[in-house]
Amino acid sequence: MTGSGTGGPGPLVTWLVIGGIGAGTYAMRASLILLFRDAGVPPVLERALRYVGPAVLSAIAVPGLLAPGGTLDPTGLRVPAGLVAGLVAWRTRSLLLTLVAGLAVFFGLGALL
Amino acid sequence: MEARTLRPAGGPAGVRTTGDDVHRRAPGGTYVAQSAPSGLRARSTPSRESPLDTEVRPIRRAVLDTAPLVLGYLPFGLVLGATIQASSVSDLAGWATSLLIFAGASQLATIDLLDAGAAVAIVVLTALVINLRHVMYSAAMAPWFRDQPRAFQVVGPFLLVDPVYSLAIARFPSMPDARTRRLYYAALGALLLANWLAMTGAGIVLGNVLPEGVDLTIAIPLVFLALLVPMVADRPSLAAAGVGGLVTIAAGGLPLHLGLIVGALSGVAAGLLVDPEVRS
Repeated sequence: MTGSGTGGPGPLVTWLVIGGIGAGTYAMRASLILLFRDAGVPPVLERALRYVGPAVLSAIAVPGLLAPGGTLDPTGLRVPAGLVAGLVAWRTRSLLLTLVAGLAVFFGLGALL
Repeated sequence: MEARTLRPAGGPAGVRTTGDDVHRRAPGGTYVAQSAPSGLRARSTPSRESPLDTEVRPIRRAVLDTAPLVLGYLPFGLVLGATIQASSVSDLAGWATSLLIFAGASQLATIDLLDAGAAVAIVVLTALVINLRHVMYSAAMAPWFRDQPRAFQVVGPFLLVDPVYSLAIARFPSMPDARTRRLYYAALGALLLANWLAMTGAGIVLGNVLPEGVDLTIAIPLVFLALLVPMVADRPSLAAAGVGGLVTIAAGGLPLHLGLIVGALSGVAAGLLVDPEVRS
C-alpha cells in the first residue's frame, strides 16, 4: 500500500492528520451557517456577502491565468485564452462553452507558435 | 400544484407567489436559449414550466450543471490521484482525502507535505489556511440555510465546495422554495463528490495518464472564470474581482498559502469601499 517510502509519518499519524484536516474543513463550512441559523446574518456582514463570490473566485481564477506557478507571466498563452474565455462566459453564461473556448485558444496558439 | 400554471394571476396569494417565481426562473433557461434557433423558443417555452418542475427540475438542473464541471475538474482529479499513488501516503488514506477533506488544492498540499516529511502541525495548518475561504462561503450560504431543516443545516455544509457555493449562490434567488433549493444543492454536491472520488480513484489506479507536455492545469482557472463572470454585475463587484485577483498574485509569496485568503478578503473590502450604499 505504501508508495515511494520517503520520510512521511506512519499510518496512524497520517490518518489522524487527514481526519483532523477533514474535521477542520467541515467546521469552517458549517461555522456561520450554524451560528446565524436562528438570529440571522448581521446587516453589516450581509452587505459584504455579495462581494464574496467575485473576490474569491477571482482570487482563484486570475492568478491561475496571469501567474501560473506563482510567477507573473503577462505574455503567456494563458492570457489570450483567459480573455477569449472571459468574453465567451460573458456572452453565453455557459461553463462548457467557456471551457472549450479557453482550451481551444490555449492549445491552438500553442500549436501555432 | 397541478393547477398552478393554469391559474390566473388573481388566485390565492400563496399560489400566486409561486407563479411569479416560475416566471423569474426563466433566466435559468438561457442555456437552452443559446442552442436553439430563436423561432423555436415560443413553442417550447410553456413545456419548460410544467407542474412537475419542482420535483424534477432542481435535480435535472444539478445533473446538467455537473457535466461541464466534471470535464473541467478531470485533469486536476487525475493529477491528484497520480500524486497520491507516487507519494509515501497509502493509496487508501490518500483516496480518503477526497471524501474527508473534499477540496482539491488542500488535498494536494496535504499529500505533498506528508510525502516531504513536513511537521504535522505545518501540514494541518497549511491545509486549513487554504480552506479558510469556506468560512466566507458559510457566511454567504447562511441566509439560505435558515429555512432549511436542522438535519440539512448540519449535513449540507459537508458538500459546500467551491462550485457548489458558486452555483447555489447564482441559482438560489430564482428557485421558488427551500425544498427546491435543498434538492438542487444536495444533488449537485453528491454528484460532484461521487465524480471527485471516481476521478481521484482513477488517477491512483492509472497513475500519470495525461500526455506529456500537454498542460491541462489551465482547466481549473477557466472553470472559476466561467463561474466568476456572471457575478460581476456592477462597479463594486468589479472592484471586488479586480482587487481579489491582483492582491492574491501580489501576496503569492506569503507563507502557508495565505495569499488566497488575503486576496479574497481584500476583494470583499474593495467591493464595500466602492459600494454606494456603504459609502453614504
